Amino acid sequence: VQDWLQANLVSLLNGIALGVLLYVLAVGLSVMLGMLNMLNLAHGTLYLLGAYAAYTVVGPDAGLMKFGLALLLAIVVGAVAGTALELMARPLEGKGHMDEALLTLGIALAGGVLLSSVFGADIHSIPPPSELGSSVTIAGQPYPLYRLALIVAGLLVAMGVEYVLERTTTGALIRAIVHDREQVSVLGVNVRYVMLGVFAASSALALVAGVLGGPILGAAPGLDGQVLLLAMVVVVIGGLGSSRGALIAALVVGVVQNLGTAISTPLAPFLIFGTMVAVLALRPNGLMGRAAVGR
Amino acid sequence: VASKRFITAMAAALAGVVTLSGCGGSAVSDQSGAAKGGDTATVNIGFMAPQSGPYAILGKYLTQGVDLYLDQKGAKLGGHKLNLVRVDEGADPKTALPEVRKLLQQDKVVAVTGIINSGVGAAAAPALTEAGVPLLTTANDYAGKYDHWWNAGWGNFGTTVAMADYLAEQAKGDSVYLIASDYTGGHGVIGQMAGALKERGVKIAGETYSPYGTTKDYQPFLAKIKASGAKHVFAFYAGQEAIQFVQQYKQFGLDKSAQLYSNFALTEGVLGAERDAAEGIVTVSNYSTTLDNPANKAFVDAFTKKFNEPPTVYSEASYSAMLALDKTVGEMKGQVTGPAIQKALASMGDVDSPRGTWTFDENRGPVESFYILQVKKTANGLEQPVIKDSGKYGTRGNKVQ
Repeated sequence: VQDWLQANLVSLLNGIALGVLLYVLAVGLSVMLGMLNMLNLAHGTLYLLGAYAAYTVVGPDAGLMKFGLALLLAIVVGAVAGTALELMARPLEGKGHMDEALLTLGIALAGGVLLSSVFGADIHSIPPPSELGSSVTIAGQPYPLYRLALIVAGLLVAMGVEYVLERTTTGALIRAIVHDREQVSVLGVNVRYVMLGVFAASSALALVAGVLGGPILGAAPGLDGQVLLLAMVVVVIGGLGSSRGALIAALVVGVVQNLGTAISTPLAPFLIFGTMVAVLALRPNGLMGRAAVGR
Repeated sequence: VASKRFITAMAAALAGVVTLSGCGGSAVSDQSGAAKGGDTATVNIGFMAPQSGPYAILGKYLTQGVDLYLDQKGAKLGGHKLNLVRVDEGADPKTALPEVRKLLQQDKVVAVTGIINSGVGAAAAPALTEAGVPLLTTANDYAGKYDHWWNAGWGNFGTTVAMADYLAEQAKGDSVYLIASDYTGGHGVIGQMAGALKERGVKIAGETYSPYGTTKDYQPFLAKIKASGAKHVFAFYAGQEAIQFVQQYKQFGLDKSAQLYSNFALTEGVLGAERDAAEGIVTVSNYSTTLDNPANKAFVDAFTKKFNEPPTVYSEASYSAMLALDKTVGEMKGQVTGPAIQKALASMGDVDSPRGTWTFDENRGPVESFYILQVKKTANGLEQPVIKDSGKYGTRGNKVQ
């Protein structure tokens, strides 16, 4: 076991880095689906928008300052995009998933075409901040510093989300809305404002994930669909509306994807969806899903 | 009730995602102008290059070569008015085949040029053969296999064997690890390289393929190379995949334990994006901007003036394909048709192109010289000077004197 761990440590670490990135992307999707019963198929497009934002702001030899600027831009644009999305989705209130899915699918398709007409069909690579461009030695093997920083950044986001959801009044409201929205509005809380906030925060996180993932996954047409699919799998495995579940699920998907590719490349995609099927068979609400979703 | 709602939600979501990823590739399509129809004075030629997908950058270089030709010849081919119909090759045969059918049925082209992906070439060749329309590509893995497929660029086989000769000198008793993108071209090159190395008594440390077009993270594959302990690595990647592979090869410290070899595709046209990570990589090529002949000097000057960047192997190849068509059609008596061009190409003789003089052999590919290049840091930035002239090779990797 020790030998195996030694040989696969870098793959494992890499899986964690990918997992943490998936968490930042998926947690908003999970809370939105859990809380608002809102299927946001444009979430991947928001990720790609973040990646292109990073591509535009972060040039070659750019430092952490520029990267921070890209993150700030991602948060602002994300909040605006989330608000716009909420306004567009408002008329569909209570019409069910299919209408919301069609709306956000339309936004995703139009957004995808718009992005590729602005940024072209090229696959752009984004350099990591110059301070984090080097490699460090871990267990005798070089490992890119940026990916370690990504793990730290992602875990910080996870702690932040966890704190807001579990330790603050806002979080309590959000959790209460996940459980019983009408009851909460009866208590005199304006559910709409809370929802608007969740839309904005969730979209901002998707763009932040795009910036953070830029130096690893780049920015290219088609990436929106790829990351959306992975985020969906994370949401399904983790359970709706659970930040902790999303974190565990994202790490599982990241590690399975990376170790799977290292061990048997053709089997890797099967392993991820196999994990999803297995989890659904044993726990239909996901690992940490709240049993009673909806009203 | 809760889980039923959940399942409905997920089913709708997954259906949406599948639709979304299915639609992504087809966003870019027909940009061509209207076909000229039965006008005998105009020659319709199809030009297919990737405008999307992992090889979109290479598509740009192919287009530059053709655009330079059009500039210099005033949109004429062998004295006839040329109607060049441009279509997108996309990422794979799935996206390319409908465009090939469009060229044949709607645009009534008499020849097709371009095409960077051998998989696309192999998928298109039967339809073109049936229509009697020759295909002049810039690369080919199947020397002689398809009757109407001509290759005016580099033969992957000749390129690979020239590199195998060099690798055999360098590796001596060591073994070589082989890695490539998982598609027809990658398997073709690695298969040829493995065979050629074994013939030369070099051991193979291992062989692995990364999924084509979707791999962004090469770490799991680099870990396999590391585990094998190989001191020499031969890689086959092009375009964006090459950039990511080369950068991660250095990030994960492989550059310190194993020398990286490839054909030109790993560095050509993407050196600017790879930057210092590319330093020291050894490649093989049929063309270098530094080649000392008048045709090349004129080509490099005109190209640099028009595009503000030096030409690449790809631009030279697509330019040369147009030169070959120009020569064939120019010497033709009677109507310019697909079968007539097919017949004339067989007896075309020498083409004077920037890479030097070359001619088609019996496998419809070029007999040409190959050079070993190495990426070095100079006062002008990164350059790829010739470190060895390997001499002339034919389409079967046979050495020609």
